[in-house]
Amino acid sequence: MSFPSKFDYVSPQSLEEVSAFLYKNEGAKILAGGHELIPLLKKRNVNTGLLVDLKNIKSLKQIRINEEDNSLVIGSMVSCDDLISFLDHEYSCPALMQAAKSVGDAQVRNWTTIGGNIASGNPAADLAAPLQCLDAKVNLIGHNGRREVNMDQFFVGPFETALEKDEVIDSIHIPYQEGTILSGYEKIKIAANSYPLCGVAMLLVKQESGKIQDGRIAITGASIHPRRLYKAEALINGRKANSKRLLLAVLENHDNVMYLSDEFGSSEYRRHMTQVLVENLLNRLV
Amino acid sequence: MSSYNILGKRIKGVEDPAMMRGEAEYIADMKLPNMAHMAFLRSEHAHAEILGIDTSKAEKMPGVIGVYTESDLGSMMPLPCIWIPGTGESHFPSHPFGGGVPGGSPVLAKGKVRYMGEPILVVVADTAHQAWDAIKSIVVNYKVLPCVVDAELALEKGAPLLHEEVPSNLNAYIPYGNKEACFKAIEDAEVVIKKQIIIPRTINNPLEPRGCLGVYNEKSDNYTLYATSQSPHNHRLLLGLMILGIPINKLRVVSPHIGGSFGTKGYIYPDMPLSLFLSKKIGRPIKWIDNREDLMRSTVQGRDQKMSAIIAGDSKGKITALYCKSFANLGAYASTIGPGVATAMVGRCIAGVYDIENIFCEISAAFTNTPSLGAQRGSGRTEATILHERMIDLYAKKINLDPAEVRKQNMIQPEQMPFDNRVGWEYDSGDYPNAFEMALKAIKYDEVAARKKEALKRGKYLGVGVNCFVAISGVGPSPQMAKEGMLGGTWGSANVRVHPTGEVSVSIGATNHGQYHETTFAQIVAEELGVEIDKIEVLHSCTRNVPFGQGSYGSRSFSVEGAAVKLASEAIKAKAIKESAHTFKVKEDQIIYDSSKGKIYPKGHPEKAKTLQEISLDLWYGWDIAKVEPALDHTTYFDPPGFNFPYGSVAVEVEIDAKTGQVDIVKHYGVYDVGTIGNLQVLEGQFHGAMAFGIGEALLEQAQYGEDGLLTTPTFREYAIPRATSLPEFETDTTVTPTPHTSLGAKGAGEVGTVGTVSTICSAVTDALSHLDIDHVDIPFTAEKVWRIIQASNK
Repeated sequence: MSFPSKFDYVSPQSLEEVSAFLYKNEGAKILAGGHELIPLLKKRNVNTGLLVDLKNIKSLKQIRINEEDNSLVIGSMVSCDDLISFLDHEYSCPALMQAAKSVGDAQVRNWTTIGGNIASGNPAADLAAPLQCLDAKVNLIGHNGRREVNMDQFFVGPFETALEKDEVIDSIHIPYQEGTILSGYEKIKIAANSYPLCGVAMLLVKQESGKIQDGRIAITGASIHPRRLYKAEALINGRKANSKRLLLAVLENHDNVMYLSDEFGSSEYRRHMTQVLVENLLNRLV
Repeated sequence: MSSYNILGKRIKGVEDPAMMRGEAEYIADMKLPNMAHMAFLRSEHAHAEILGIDTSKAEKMPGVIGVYTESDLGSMMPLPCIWIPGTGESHFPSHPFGGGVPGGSPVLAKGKVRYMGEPILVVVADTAHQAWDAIKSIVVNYKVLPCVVDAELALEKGAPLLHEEVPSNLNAYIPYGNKEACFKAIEDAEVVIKKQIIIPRTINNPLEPRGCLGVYNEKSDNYTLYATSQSPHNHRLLLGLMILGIPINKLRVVSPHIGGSFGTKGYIYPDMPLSLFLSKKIGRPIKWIDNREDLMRSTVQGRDQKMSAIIAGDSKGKITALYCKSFANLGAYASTIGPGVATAMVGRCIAGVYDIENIFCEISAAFTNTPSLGAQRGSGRTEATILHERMIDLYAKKINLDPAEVRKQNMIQPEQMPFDNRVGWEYDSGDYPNAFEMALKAIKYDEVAARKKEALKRGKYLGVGVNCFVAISGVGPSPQMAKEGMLGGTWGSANVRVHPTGEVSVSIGATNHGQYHETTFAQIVAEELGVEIDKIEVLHSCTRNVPFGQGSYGSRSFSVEGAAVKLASEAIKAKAIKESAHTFKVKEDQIIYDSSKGKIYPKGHPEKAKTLQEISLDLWYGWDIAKVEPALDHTTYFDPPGFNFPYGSVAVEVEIDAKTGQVDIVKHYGVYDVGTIGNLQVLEGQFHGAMAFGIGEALLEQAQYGEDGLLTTPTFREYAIPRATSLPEFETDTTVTPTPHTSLGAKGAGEVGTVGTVSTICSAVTDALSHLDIDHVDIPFTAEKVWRIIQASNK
């Protein structure tokens, strides 16, 4: 068997306490499910003196629609499984739904939380791509109070995020979007671990004319961090979805994506698969 | 067809309730008073000298009882190897036991490490966590040496040398078949095709990793080893005789529930003698449970053959010669039976189900800086089947014939049985053409062209493979195994005891590690004696419960140990008849033993019937019995006169996504003939598991070593195994051709599903890509690899 190195454990009742623990304890780690963190601790790839468990903060497990602006507010400890149930009954968002359903397997989805999925800055976070397409905002609490970060600014590098050391994710806000909205998520799974070798989320706001008023594309897994493809998107806005121009834009990498090359796949394969998934989504949605 | 009442039926596993409720006890569950725990420090390098080890910090850590290296092991001997491939030259490190026993691996590294993951020392502590903490505090000072991980490169001049006693890293060179005739036939042939086929190294991943619990009892001077062992008796013998040097009546070896093995737990590993030796040293039981990452780099691994083959024939489809030269990668040390697995199990199997006049195979097994090679479900036979089936596909393509026609034309016919395959095996029985026809029909072979067309419209390349295999099983006839170089017996044994109260205890030589022995072996006895299943207990996997047992490997359990159970049951029945004749005062031939009802009566007088219990009671009392020994108890030792040869045919249809290279198996059919069937439900479970195993190997699995010899796929994050969600619906059929070698007639069953699956997926994938002028791709067919091939041929 393998075991983590010794650490202390706390499970505070409020985010303010969490932030205080993070502020006072250099290297403290947040436990928000543990699917990613626990194996790293056991292998001692990550060592920590203090594990701060979020499980006792009830508000983090809530999902609700904000009555003032109709935005969707998802607590950071909402599990993939709970998210799927909510999207099934209360709120339609195919891209987010499809991404949540593609995470791991049933047991993993019971443990994985939306906050945990993005907080480590894992370049292959499934939920990151649809959240970026949805223009979601991440609500953070830290030693200096509360602030909001746009999803497209949240990831700054591989396993690096906008989170300061003393900050913790409270919730994720998805603004209400008018109009006819089509969205979807597709991925090429890494056979060993089910993370996306390459995942693409697409969201299209259509005008009555059939033209695309607002097209959004985000990728995960393929690059050093999840990101929007703004330049490619610009080629479809205001047009009837013209797949060829868009596909070429992706293939020719107008967005200067740094495609990853590792034991799971080459950058060349990831680039081509990004194009394939964009094409699949266009065919599916338009 | 079958005249059996209970054999072959779907009877629910008596093992199920305990496992489903989580009550089955595995080693990880076991706790003994005052138990200590052990952890290994393993090499971080593939090849290095150990210049120094600093354990000073570890020794002072909380709970640590001791840190032990090779110098603390006293007179403990290294792990032996007990399979010296017999027909060619072989070189091993020496073993102090002498008498021709080859050296396997050191228990702990002595001055040098030869693969990443090799154990260097152990820490014993009060808790497993403390032992692990101490391991992490130890610093080893290495001088890294050049390494080699490829068998062919290891044999080249100037390659880094692993063992001082083994020149040029060559463990064994072994030829099979007739070299001159084969080369002559190739020279004379109209059509000659050459191909290199590489079968990569794979890692077995049973659900439960290995573990052990060693207990020394000072009062009785007895040792007990609880271990994940497929062969408790043989491991006791090796531990007692060749490693620890203790009398084996002082050592008991027990395998509790085992969570899968696939061959890996049939080997002797350092933890086994260490836990016993150190338990005596510290006066406490010592437990060790492996973790996945260490399993991946220290438990025996599978396959790893680099084959260059030639097939030759005429232009009408008659194969005249098959030749194979292979480099087998043995790893750093000869594992318990690794050298035989890598050689005979491949070389003697390359003929498959075909009547090929001229055949020759030569295998060079080499030491390299990788973990030791061992068995993996279907070992040797899977590699050999890939070889002959791939070569036949290539030959058919070259002469523009349907591969199914070429197979039919060269297939051994039922009337040719028994058949000498010309590389060392004598096939016992079978109707190969029938199985092949069944598979062709199941896959609708006539309609493949139309399905290809339809699939292309959906952006899919569709391909079909229909392959045949025969998979030697039932180790085995001991004299024959001795000729193959096995140091030990391989026969079967059983004890059947009918208690005075009518219940039956059956001791078997097989070791259950997931095969439902308690159910299927009871079915043999129930069939023979007419006793209800729930009155039969099957004892196994403990050296005290069982007189001697060779254990379970090579699909031998039901086919060899089951045959012994059948013989012992027959002897019980004969004695019961003798006693009944005495009781009823009639001649023996006037006694009817109705096994279907469990009644014994004189001919024509069923109303006088007695049960086996009544007869047994008489025999145990012994007051007034026939001229026989009292009691109703029989022990059989049975050496089968020959191996058995299960066979079958597999049909696979794949669809390859033209854009992504993803291979999906859309249909997977297998017809298997394993002779007499024990329990159809258990059997189908074994087929399905073995087929899934084959899919993993064909599509996903490959242990990858960098040039520095370091394993780059050390966890499930990198090493892909199939998941339930990615498996197709399996369809299976069975035919029954009993082996003539035993009265039970069963053939091996646990591995056939794997042997046929891997090669058939190869055929299907190359068929799907055939329009791109692709004739061979090495496994595994990962999406990017297939995508690259498609890209390259589109250019």
